[in-house]
Amino acid sequence: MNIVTTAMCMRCRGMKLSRMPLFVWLMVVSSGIVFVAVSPLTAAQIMLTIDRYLGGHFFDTQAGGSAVLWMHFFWIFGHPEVYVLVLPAFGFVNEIIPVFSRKAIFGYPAMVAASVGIGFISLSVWAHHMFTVGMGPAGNTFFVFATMVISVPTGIKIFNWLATLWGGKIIFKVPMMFCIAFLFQFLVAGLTGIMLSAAPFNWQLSASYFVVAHFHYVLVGAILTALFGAFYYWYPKVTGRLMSEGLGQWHFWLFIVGFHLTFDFMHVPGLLGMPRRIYTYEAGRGWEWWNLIVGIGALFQTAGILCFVWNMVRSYYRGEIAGHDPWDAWTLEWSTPSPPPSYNFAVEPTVLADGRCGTLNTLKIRT
Amino acid sequence: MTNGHPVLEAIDQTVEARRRPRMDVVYGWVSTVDHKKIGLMYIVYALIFLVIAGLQAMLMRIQLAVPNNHFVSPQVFNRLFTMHGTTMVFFVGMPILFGFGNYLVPLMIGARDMAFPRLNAFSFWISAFGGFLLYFSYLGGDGLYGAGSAPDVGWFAYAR
Repeated sequence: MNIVTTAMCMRCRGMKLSRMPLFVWLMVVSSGIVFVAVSPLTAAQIMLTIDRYLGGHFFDTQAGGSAVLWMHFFWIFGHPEVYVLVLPAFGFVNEIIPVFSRKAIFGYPAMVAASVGIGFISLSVWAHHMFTVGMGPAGNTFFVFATMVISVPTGIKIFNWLATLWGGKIIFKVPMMFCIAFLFQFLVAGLTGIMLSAAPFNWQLSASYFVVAHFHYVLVGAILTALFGAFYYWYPKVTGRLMSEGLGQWHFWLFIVGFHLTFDFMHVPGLLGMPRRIYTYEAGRGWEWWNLIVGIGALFQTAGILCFVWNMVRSYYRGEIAGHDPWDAWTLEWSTPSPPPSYNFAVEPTVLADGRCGTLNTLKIRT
Repeated sequence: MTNGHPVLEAIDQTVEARRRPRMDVVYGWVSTVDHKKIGLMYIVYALIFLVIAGLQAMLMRIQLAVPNNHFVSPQVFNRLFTMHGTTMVFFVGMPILFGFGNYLVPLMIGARDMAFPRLNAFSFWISAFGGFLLYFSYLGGDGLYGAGSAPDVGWFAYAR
């Protein structure tokens, strides 16, 4: 609510909605989803508390309630929740890719429309987490369809990111490298998601490691990767110092190798039938080597993250001093000193012109 | 004393040439309504939980690296994956992304702060309390599934 109100009511003069940075748009859509989707979780938790402590039977099938009811309530929250997690990650990528391609984002209006579309459709796909529960062919088909439809605006976004890169002058600094990894990894994650959206395929692989591999591919491969890019990109703004490129490269390569070792190969035991949440397994099923590789990948990722933490700590004290705009970016936050003073802007800026629609708008600001 | 370090200078700006007393700095952070400080608190809070949940993941991976392993018991393993999932979604994912949002949204639109700064601060502290409460369950009294146990039913709680 705070974010939506701020973005709607507190924009400076000249900052029309069509000039707002895409990150802000995506935070607004995310916040909108939170508005709608968190209440079912709260309601379900209250019902669960009544069941547990006050003798209710909402979810008790033997007493006339339904355990499937919990699933519906939970996933009406749970699916939009993952879109709440991924949309800000899209926002980071929307800000970083144009700056490091020296080009405005391709197709700003389509990006806004796609983001809002993803927000709305995400509220209608929840039961693809429940294909094995027995909703019947009509129910299953609706959710298969809705889930496949959400891939359309998502595909538009991926296409636009690629189109932004095409013809741009690409600068391979660490934030950009994480965003390029994001593009590839998010695409693969989306593809395994669409595979899982086919109900019969889902019946075979429900609650297997294929599902675990899919959602970790999105969460770690897309969201966490974009997040690392965002850390490297905005760290100079927050602290006034740049993070080390060299350590950043170590972080990037260790993490990417580890990520792929772990999560690429995690799909295989899933396809070979390994269920989720088992604490051990018998030898002889063909799962052993895959699990071992997955574990080794985890070590690489840990090493990468340790590099990252070390980079953040060390750069705070000994990083190269950044000016107010080390990346030559063009959104308003780069016009403030690094770090920004507590009042943000000494004089409210006025955004005068729009080069093209999109984030390339504050080249001419009067402060 | 600040060695030209920009952030320390910003903190010192209201005091002439002396270091502020440490309690003042702590109180400044605890009582802040500045969206930038709140955003940073969310991010640091999330990074701490990222490390904890990452350790939970490593423990699970060690247990599953070879067949018929006995590195952790089944009960502990159940708690590990439940807490790993719950922590990562609610105490890493959401805070870190809303922390970035808190920091950047006002700056990107040319505003002084968020629309409701005190609500912002309250939201942070109440979610910090929530994280503490969940992890307290590792130590706390008789749970539904045994004494002093964290939840062990999976993050989406399909209780058996």
